[in-house]
Amino acid sequence: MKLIYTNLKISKKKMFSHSIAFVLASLFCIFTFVNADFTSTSFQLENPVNVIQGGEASSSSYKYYSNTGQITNGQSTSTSFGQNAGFFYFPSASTPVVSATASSGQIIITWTPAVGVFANITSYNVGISTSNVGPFTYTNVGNTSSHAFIGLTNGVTYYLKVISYASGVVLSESVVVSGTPAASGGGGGGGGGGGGGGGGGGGGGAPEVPNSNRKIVFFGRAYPNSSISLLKDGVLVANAISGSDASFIVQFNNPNIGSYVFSVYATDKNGIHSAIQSFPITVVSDAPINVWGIFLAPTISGNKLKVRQGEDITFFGQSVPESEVTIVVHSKTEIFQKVTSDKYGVYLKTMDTLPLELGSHSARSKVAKENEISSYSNSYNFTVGTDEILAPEQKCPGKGDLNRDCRVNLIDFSIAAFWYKKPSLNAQTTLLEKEKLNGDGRINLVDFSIMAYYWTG
Amino acid sequence: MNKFYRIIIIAVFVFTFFTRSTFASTLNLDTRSSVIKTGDSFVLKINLDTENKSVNTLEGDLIYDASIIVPQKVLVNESFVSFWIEEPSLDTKNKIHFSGMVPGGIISNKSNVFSVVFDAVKQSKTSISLSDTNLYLNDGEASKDTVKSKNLNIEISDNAQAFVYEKEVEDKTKPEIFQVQHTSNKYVFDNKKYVVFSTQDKGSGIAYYEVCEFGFKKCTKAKSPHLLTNQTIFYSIKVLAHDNSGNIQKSQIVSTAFMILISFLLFLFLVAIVYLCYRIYKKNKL
Repeated sequence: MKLIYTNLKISKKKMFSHSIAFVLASLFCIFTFVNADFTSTSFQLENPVNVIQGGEASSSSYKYYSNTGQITNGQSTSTSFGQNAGFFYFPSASTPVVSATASSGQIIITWTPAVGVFANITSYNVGISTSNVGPFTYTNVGNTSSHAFIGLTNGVTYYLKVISYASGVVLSESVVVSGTPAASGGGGGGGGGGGGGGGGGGGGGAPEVPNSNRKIVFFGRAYPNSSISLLKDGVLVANAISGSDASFIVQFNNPNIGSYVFSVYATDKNGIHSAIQSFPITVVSDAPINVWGIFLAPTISGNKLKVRQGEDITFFGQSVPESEVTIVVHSKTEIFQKVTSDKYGVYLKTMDTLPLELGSHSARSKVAKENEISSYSNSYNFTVGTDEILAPEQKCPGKGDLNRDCRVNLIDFSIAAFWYKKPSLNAQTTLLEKEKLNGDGRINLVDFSIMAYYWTG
Repeated sequence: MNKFYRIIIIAVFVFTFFTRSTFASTLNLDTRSSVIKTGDSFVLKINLDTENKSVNTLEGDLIYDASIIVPQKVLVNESFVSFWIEEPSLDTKNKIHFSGMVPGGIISNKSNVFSVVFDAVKQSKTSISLSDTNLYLNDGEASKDTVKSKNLNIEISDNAQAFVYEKEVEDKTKPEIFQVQHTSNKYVFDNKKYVVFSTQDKGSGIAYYEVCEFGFKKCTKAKSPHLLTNQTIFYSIKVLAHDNSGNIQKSQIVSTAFMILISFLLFLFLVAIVYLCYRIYKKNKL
């Protein structure tokens, strides 16, 4: 920069003023860039054009701001921040999954952190009421994941919920959970999730919560009549079948006192596994722990592994019935598509690949229903090229299944652990590593990370 | 309003709300106090804050000066790590290496990786640090997460306030129930038969495992995967998980062929008994 000043004989002051002029000129010059349509349940933005000019457009039902980041919409990132430029971004967050443990005079609730999209969660409010419909008394507990309500009356059922905030804006709200403090030995806990619980278990009416005291019960929603798997520290410990409304209850009895990581995943009607959702849970007493509001991400698959640019690709999967599924295609420009699942939870969306550049892409989906938002699904990877390859039917995990038994578990872990950090692999293990792990010809922590992602227990 | 100012306001709005920070995960070194009395014991906890990201594998080295603080034991009973690839141990001086995995990943703002009980043996200032730390995200592509950690500076002093180290509650609980899996494949032990096993102990942590094969007198200390002596299809294998308080959890796997063989032998034994009884009966009758 110094050399440029010298050669052009422009003073720093002049350079600064020229820079300001250039920036302002850029701001007021109108560059355009055509994008795909944007839709939501309340409005549609047709033939959108990115404008390199800050501004505001409004109608009776919404306001739309443009900004001046870059000529394509999408995210620019560095190691310390990301900027979302282009069209208006709607921040959202996954719904916190709340677990409640009642004991004498108190209820301790813990929750999974809400994961923000286009925003960071900065704090949580916890609400308490003696009625499941409120009014709730809220307390700001900061950016934490547990809270103890103390000084409560034994025998009274309290209703609780957690709300996540990003810079003061509400992003997501848990289901209402309940707990009944009781004197020691009186069997505290109990209660059900407000609005939750129906269906599940054997697939039909509301299943009963068993009576044994020390237990951890998980309430949530997956896909209609799907298989639910519960893992304790990575080991499969229980199975259940969800109801026709996709709700499920699965439980683990008689845990020891201690800290655990429980994980839940579902298997859809095509045999595809959902993303695993994990919950660190600490058992400190005999009181039952109920975990409410689990909202498993949809499954996602596609009809093509490679698609000719400009031709259609179809994404499909299963989710909660009659809910809004958002499919995000990760490309240079992120493309959002929305579709409503049918009464069996099945969704299908065909997309034109013309806006996608040649190369590798991935698609993920998430679902929203009744103010609850799931996390994102696993990724479906595909390539846009000049020819076409149809996707084979795939029921086994794509990676990590080293012994090819369609499960990723301790046996696969032991194979990888056997070769871990060894300077070279034998020929057959090299081929296996290439096919089932990251393909760099050695077994290291990266391979275990891939295995952990595809884990089935 | 002047258009220029409107643009500035919008820009401020956009940058304050819609810019999204992607923070590095943090490995924290926590102790109850930074000033320890010489001769006291203290617990160092290594905790992970994933900054709302899902992390599924991690590794690193805990570095300390063994001439000033001497590690007595490593505690993994509160750890979120489900499977250790390299369990932290006191095998090397001045360094504790660890690598582990949590299937499905974990999002947490304070989860324990492991803890170390140190004895403060020499009056001095010292630093405990983490090096060569790597974290990978649970995204299917093993994207490397940025990770930061801060050195923990502590002072060992004769004048520090004495602190009573709270010894762990006596652990009377067996390790978690677990399953032994018998398997073989061309990738490990040249297609020979072996067993895999893993469990946890939430009280005092797993000390070691023993594998006992039917027909062999001695049980042997073992690590998973364990190559079996008995390579036949007739096997009965018991694995004992010992925790650090002497509690034992057993798990057994018996092959169908072994069950049939035992059943057949029992049947033969019964037939022989019946036959003998018949012979005795007939002899007495005559």
